[in-house]
Amino acid sequence: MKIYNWLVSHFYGVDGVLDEYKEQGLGRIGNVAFIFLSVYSFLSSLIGMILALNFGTGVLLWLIWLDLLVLSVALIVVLRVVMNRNLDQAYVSDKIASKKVAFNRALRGGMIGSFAFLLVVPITTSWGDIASLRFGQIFSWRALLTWLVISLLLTGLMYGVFRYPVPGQTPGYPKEDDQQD
Amino acid sequence: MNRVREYRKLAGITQADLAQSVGIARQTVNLIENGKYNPSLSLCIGICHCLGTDLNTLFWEENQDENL
Repeated sequence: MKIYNWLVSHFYGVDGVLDEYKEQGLGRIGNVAFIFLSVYSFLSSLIGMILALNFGTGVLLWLIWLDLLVLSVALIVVLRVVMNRNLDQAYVSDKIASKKVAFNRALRGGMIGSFAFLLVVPITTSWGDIASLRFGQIFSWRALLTWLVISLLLTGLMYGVFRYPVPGQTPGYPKEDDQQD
Repeated sequence: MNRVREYRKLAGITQADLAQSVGIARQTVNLIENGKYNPSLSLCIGICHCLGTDLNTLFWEENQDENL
């Protein structure tokens, strides 16, 4: 149970206790996302097979890109819904501590996003030729450093900014109908 | 509407204290007090134990007596 709570909390970015209210809310969101991704996975595999039989296996690389794009969009939508329903916040009264938590969460999200981007993009493409993968070029230190800078600047920063609370959603600032006592 | 807030104030504890005692988030306590979330039976019992009262006192609605 502890592993489950840790997994759910870290996946959805939930702060504080994972109680029944948050579990129910996250469960609903997760169910919809699972159904959508399952249907998409089935359809994309089917269409990928048909296209590969007709146009060759090179099409499959584009399919992988599309799958990753759809997965990324689905994850962003899920996290956005979690934030909009205030399931991720602990509503602590210490504003300084909650801002620090939000910054750490944004930084962690940015690092994870940039690392995932760094792993995925070099594997699915090459420098100018999609049909042939050249491991020597992709996994060279120069290539890794270039992608690391690009992913940190673009993907990581964007993800971090997205996860950092905006005015009106700042943790530690209860809404008008959210009475403390 | 339940009487959780009323009995919580009688007990002299904050939402955060009640949440910590029961093992839920403070936000959830607020939602329960405002009637925006129906807690499970086990959670209701936990809240009753913490506030030193029973289920009927906290959660029974007076309007239902008239209907019966």
